[in-house]
Amino acid sequence: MKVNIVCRNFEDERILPRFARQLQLANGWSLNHRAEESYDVNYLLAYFELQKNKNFQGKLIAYFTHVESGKKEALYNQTASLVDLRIAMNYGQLAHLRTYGPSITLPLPIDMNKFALRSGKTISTKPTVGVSGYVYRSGRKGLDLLSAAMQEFSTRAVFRGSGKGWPCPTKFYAWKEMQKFYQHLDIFLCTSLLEGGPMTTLEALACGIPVVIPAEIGIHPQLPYIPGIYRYIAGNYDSMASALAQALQEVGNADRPSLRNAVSPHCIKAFVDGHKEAVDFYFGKKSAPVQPVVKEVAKTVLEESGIYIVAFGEPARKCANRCIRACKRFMPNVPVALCAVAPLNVGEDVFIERADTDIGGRKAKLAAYNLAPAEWKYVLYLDADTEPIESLEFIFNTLAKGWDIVICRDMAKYAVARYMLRADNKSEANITWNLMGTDETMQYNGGLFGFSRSEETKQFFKLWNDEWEVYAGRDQGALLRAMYTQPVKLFLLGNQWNASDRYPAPTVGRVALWHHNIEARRWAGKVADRLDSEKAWGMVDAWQKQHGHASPKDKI
Amino acid sequence: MTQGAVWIAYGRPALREARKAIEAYQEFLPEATSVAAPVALICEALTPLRNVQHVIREDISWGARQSKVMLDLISPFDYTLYMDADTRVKSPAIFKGFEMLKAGWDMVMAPSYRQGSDVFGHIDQIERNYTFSTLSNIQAIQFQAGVMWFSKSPNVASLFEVWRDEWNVYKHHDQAALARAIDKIPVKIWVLGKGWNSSRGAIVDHLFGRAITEI
Repeated sequence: MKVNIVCRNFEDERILPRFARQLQLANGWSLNHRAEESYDVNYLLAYFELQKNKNFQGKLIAYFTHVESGKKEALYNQTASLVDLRIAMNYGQLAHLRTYGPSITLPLPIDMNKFALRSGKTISTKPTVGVSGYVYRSGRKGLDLLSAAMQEFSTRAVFRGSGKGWPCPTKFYAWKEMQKFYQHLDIFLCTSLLEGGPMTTLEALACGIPVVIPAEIGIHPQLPYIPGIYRYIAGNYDSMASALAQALQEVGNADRPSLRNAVSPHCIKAFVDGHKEAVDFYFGKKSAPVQPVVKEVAKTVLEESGIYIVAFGEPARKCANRCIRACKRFMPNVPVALCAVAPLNVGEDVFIERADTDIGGRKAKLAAYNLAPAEWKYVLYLDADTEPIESLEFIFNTLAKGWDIVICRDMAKYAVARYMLRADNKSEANITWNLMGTDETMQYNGGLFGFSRSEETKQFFKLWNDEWEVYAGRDQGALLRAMYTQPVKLFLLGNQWNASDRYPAPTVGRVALWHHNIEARRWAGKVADRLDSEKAWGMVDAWQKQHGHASPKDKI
Repeated sequence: MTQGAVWIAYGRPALREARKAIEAYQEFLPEATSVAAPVALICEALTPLRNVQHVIREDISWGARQSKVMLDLISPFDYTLYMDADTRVKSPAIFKGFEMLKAGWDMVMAPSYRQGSDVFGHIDQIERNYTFSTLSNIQAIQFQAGVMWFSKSPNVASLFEVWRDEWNVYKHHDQAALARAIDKIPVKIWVLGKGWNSSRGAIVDHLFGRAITEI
């Protein structure tokens, strides 16, 4: 496979040219200023290289750093629409890029030898807080935040910058000296409002330096939640000041090896190997682009397995169409049952007709044990608005090994039961916490779960349904109460098997199933009543009129 | 059915930590149960600790892990709370764990903060690779067994038996061995949040060696 990397300034000591040279060196790819037709694939590093290659006709890959507003956004989208494979710098961009076609993300190339651990220097009474990078006119580096922090923390910290344009004393470090900047810091501060990485956060962590970072920006949601990584709301000074104050207070406790370990997925080898595997997978010999985690599933297990999907209302049916097609693409040997008021005829093997009784389709979901074909010993339930992007067959294997239920933990934002509280469910939350004796217990995401048939799981589903009927709202609290009351052998997975594209992506691992939360809804706003109430159906009516759909009473 | 908390401590530093851990726990014990001594210490000789049931046994394994993987056999209680010596109870909520066992759960634990690509980061490379090659899914949630409740159910006995076998492969840390055991022996584990077992956790502060530097 002949690959040409297209980078207008590949000789420079900037981030993207370094990426390009690393790929050239490790993978033996060519490196030029323009796309050339003599190659099998040309790789735009990054998306803006399309400007000078608009008329190129061959196969293209593009790297997507971050999207800015205005002309750059238009170019970003234009490139995304034209290329054959999109490689995002972080997970956050994938949901958008995937609407254009195949899109992946890969680890970033941190030189772990160069960015070595800071030696055991003692912390002075005024710790050094560092910022790094080139400040652009767009304002995306968050200078105002830094200026305000310098005023508030001037008696408690010293601020230093590397690069250009910072309001604190700043020195330009040549790339070969860059590690020295981080190794003299006590805390690294990122004030950015928009980033693709940033590489600076990863470089600081590789040196074992605690970081104060905007939570939602770039690759930050993918970093683990460990002491020494202080997150704040991007652009919010009060939040940043609070995080920085905590970092200063705890600066003497930094566990430098752990902070360095947080960056371990990001190394040059993972970056270049990932690129090579992706190119081979999408343009050449077919092999999995990342490490396989799915072990072979016995045919006999698959013969007793099936996927159960529920879809009521037009948005849910559209979502189910996508979900069923994805199931068939990645798990062609596993039958799919659709529970709805009418079939979709997009590949479902079994149609289960069911009346449309509650606006969220919860009754049909919680009846999975009874409604899914009885000959299926192992059942995988998927919300209609989920989309597998690889095989989930290992779940059937796990069930066949003796586990009753397979489910994922909830997103970090909803990690424990304490976070179930909303404006409209105080009573239910209290009942749930009281039953369990604590609100500090793992919360599960019921958008994907597998179960094997047994008396215990049958009882569990009965309880889940009964508990849901009490409030007839979300099903998560009912799930916890049912599970606590009917203990089951629970195999717990990480978020990558049920990753919402509305929240920060899972901190580790490759996503196997996206959950497009809210897409299946046929109402807007909070119902604040039972999902089977007149009020709830009224909200659906209003939504459907607004969106030009038929009345729910028409049932499709 | 009896219930109680168990610590393991071999060597002076561990005994010193266990004493502090037991005192922190006993602060939250109602007086009546304190006298009934629902605390056991597994160690090599009697200590001056009061209201503590001593379980004397030899253990020359690294970090006394051999005793830990035999807890189902050694613990004097039907419902056991085990805590590492460098843990400090911070809340009376600690006793809720026993209620979870009584509700029918075999074990009660919190996840390790190392998950996914960071999982088993403290384990030797050879054992880590061996573990990855044996687990059915490396992205399953892994547990931190420095704070755990368990009952003496048949499921738990089977799990501990396999945990011992797996620990004997490398005779070092216990966490990867536990993961391999859980992968083989499905049990009913009620999963807690990190407040029950983490650095500065609201219910149990796990010092993870921090105690040594703070002394």
